[in-house]
Amino acid sequence: MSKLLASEWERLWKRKVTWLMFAAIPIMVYAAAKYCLHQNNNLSPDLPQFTVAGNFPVLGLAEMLMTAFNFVVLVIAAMIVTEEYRSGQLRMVLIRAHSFQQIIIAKYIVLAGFIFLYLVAYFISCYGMGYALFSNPETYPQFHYQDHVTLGEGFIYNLKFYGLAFLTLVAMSSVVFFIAIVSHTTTTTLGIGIGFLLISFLYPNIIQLFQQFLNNEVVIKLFFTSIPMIQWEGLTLMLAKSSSLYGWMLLVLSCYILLFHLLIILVTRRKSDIFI
Amino acid sequence: MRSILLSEYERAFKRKKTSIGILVYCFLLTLECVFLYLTGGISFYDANHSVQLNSINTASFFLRELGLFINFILIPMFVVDSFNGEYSSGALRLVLIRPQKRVSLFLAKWIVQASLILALTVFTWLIATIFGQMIMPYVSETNFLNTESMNIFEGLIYSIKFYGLSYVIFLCVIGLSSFMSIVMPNPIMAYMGTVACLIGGVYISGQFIYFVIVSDSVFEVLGNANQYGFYSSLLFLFVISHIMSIGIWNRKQWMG
Repeated sequence: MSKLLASEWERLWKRKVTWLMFAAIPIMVYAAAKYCLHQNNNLSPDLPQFTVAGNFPVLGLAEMLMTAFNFVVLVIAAMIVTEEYRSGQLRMVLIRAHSFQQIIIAKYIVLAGFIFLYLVAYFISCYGMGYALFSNPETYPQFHYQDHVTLGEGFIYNLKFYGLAFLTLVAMSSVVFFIAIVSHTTTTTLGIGIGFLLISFLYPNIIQLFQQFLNNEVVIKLFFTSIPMIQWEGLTLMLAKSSSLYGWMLLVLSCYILLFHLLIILVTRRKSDIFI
Repeated sequence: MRSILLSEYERAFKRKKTSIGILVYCFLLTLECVFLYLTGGISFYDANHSVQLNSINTASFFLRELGLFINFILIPMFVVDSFNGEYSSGALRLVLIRPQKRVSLFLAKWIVQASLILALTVFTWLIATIFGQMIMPYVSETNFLNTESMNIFEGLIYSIKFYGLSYVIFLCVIGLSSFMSIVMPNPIMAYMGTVACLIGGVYISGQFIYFVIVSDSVFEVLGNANQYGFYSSLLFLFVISHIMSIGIWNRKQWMG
């Protein structure tokens, strides 16, 4: 298994697109910084939305996470699963004594490793860009916190935030992996994947229209059944001092992971003899 | 040219995803009807202006949500498969064996994609108009964003203009997507490039928001605001993307 992992890892980094995505990190961070600087003009410094060097890693990620990061996951999955599988490149790997299921698991672990590295790189670039472009007060306000936090506390908070972001991306990649395995062409994978994202953006907003029929708590809980919504607003709520939704969102994310892993196992079991 | 077109149509519909994509679109169209009915006929010109739907104005609001599906899923999927998928999988070689002009192959592909989207746009307009007339509360006059009040006939003209302008936006997306398909080496990059352009455009200039939310900008333009920027940016994109596509397509190293 470890040799399989190494080979998958190697093949991921053989691709230009992978390097291109890493090269895009500074551009993404810069775009986020531009946006935050623009927002700062209309905000007073004692709001948590006001960007300073300490909270830029969180504010700079919030918007990118649900668009660019999900998209990166989708593209990588389309490349390493659909393309390799449907174009027949995978046969070379299947010559060795590994089942299709093992290969898919190896690919999944490789993708998770890639996401982890990607987030680490983004985190570091954010701190760099934050100190270069934003003011750096000793303490600053934090979302859903009573008191200001110091830079050290803020650093811990940012680490937790990135950890949870990693968890949402892992959940997202379970969904995307399933789509990538069942699709026959890469364009189908990307089409269905983007469709899943669009629906996840839209239905929480539609649910809010029915607020009068349902009670408030149900609406909020339904709102946070969508991965992009957890990424957008949920993460700061999860990290609030007293959070009632922490358990709920963890439950939703683990349900996504479990459900789609189950589906992946079912599908790959059926498909394991396709090459013979 | 006629036989190239026929073969192109045939190949487009041989791909299952073309018919499945259209079926899904029809399903979403029905869903949109149910959705507008359930919300009690309230929709939005943009984030700040809500509006009560009635028998005349309903038709134009269908593209608010459906435009997203067309711009981000249907067009990239169809165009990338036609312009890039066939080339990178090698299926196009069988077509290239015949002594056809490269540019007529491009035109055939373009016409097929444009006509598919045109059919969907017209179909949507038809269903939306019928839905509006039958289901939504009857009025004899209504007005749209920043327009004078209109009777049934003028409202119909307005909605035709609305769908026409939206179609021009769709054509620009087809142009962008075909350009991406021609310069990128594989379908994934082509799809990625198209979506990156559509979303990245908004960061470059707020003008390009019409790729993300089709209806808002069209309502604005038909209400006599921001016309210059809208028309010039669309025309510019349309012309540039097609000239570059055809230029590169003709000079492309097809074999080996």
